[in-house]
Amino acid sequence: MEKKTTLLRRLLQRDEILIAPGVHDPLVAKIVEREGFEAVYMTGYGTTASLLGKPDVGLLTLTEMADRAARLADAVDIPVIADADTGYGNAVNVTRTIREYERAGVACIQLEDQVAPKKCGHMLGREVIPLQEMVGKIRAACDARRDDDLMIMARTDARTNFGIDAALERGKAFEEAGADIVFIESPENIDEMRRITSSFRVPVIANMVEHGRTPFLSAAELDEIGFDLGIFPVSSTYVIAKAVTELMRTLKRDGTTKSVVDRMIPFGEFNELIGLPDVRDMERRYATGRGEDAPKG
Amino acid sequence: MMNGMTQLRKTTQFRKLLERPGALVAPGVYDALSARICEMAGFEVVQHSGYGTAAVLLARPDVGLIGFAEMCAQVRNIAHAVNIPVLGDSDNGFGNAVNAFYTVREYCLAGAAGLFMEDQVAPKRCGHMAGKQVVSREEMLGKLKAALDARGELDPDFVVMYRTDALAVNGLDDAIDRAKAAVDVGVDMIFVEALETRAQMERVAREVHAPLMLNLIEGGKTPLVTVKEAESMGFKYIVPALTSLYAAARGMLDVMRAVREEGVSEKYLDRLCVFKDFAKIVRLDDIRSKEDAYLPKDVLESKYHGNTRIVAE
Repeated sequence: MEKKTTLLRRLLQRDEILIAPGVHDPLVAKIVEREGFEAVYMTGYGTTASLLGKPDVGLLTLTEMADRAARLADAVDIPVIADADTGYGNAVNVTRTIREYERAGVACIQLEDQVAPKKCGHMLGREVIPLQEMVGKIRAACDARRDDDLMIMARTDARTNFGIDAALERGKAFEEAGADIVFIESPENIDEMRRITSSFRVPVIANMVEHGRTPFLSAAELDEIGFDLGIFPVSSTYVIAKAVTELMRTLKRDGTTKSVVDRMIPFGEFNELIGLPDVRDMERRYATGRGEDAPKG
Repeated sequence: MMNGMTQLRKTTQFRKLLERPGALVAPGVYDALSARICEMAGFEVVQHSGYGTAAVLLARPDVGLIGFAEMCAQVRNIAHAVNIPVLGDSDNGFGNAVNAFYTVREYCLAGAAGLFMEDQVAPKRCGHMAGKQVVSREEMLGKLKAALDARGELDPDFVVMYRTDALAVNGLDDAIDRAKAAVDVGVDMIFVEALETRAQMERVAREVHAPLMLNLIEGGKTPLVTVKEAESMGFKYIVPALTSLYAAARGMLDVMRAVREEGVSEKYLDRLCVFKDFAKIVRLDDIRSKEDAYLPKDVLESKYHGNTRIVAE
């Protein structure tokens, strides 16, 4: 079987853009896979919200993030691109971060040049570390991987405070240091986006955050501008928050969920989604005595 | 630079060790530090101990108190800490055959080179304690088939070893029958737990045709034969399972009692790995060389003012 890391490299070499929807848990990842997407993006923003109910301001630690990455990679057969924030320390820490994420089974690891504690890339008040320090972290990341096909994505948050020229200059140094994908976070207009896609030999990524700082474009539009990878990192998290809000309002008001049943996934389909038929098969194959055909009472 | 392509997988590495003639000694370890120390002492493989894990995580006996995730995390930390293969103790597979399937998956992903899984009823207990019960032979074979399928999907070199606790419950005949049935379904290694006499040891070695593990516990039920004796009987994989744990406990008890009675002193220094010796165990120099390789020059200068080590020699 082709390694997920090799598969992701191959998907990024195609002419068309690769879309990786963001997910914060394995259930959503399985839906992404079922609906035909070829890669999935693990969002730190959504994961922080899911695990802690808190904002993305550097509260999660390496072990918590790597654990979530491992669960995602285990749940789906498509490659996982995982957010590793600042790498959780300096270049020395980055080597362990890469090992932990690699062991988790991800195909690509994203590191950014923010000062710790980091913030979501569309928030204000972000600071960046000196360029040479980030270059060292990227080199450490590249050296630490055991599988040469594992991709290192290097993100700069410099655009917001220092302008697009400074951000592109950082991106070039990241490419030079060995980054496999360059991520210029939060460009503010289409002209800046075109400059990103014409500045690098390695693949570049567009980050589509609803109500974020970047023009909100479709996959086709991003493809036309020349992006190789597009993520919609928080859309699924926002949809879940809205849907559950409406459900709770209904239950509070009506005392029943009858009026929203048609907006739920049915029992059978849900069991199918999370692989209950596989468990039934195993119960039969290994004779656990717990199958549907087991004696009752 | 580390390159996975040129380094054997730990599973393959362990298979090669098994193919070598003669016995292989795999000391039991209970955490990353004990594994690292055994590696430094020159062992080529270590055996993770569930008994030791319960002891260091909870200070409790090995009676099934440790959960799957905790055990898995311990195996993972051990596997990360050393360059030699680690075999995991997976108790009874943490459930039925379906759970056993996922147990093998997680241990394999954690970096173990293999595991042993036993036929005890949950909650399990240490094999040398009284009061054990075992599941039916048929149920155990289902769990082993699940284990073999799981490793087949991820890594065919991952070793699945069957441990039977049936000797104490149903007698040696049943234990040997179970072991043979397990060999027939394709299990790689056999571990008949808590053999009580040399005669029993010899009979198992004669009748079960698979690489055999022998568990030697100081104060346990099995006679403490030498590695040479075990090897000449036909055992392949000799495990002094709790020696590191018992040595640590004895050493700590004696030294800490001395500290309580007399305070910190130089009297017991020869019984400690002091600061700079310990730095070698945890490989502090690796950190310094990574700093040299990746930190900017001005940061290095302001951290160290020209010193080349984090701790002086």
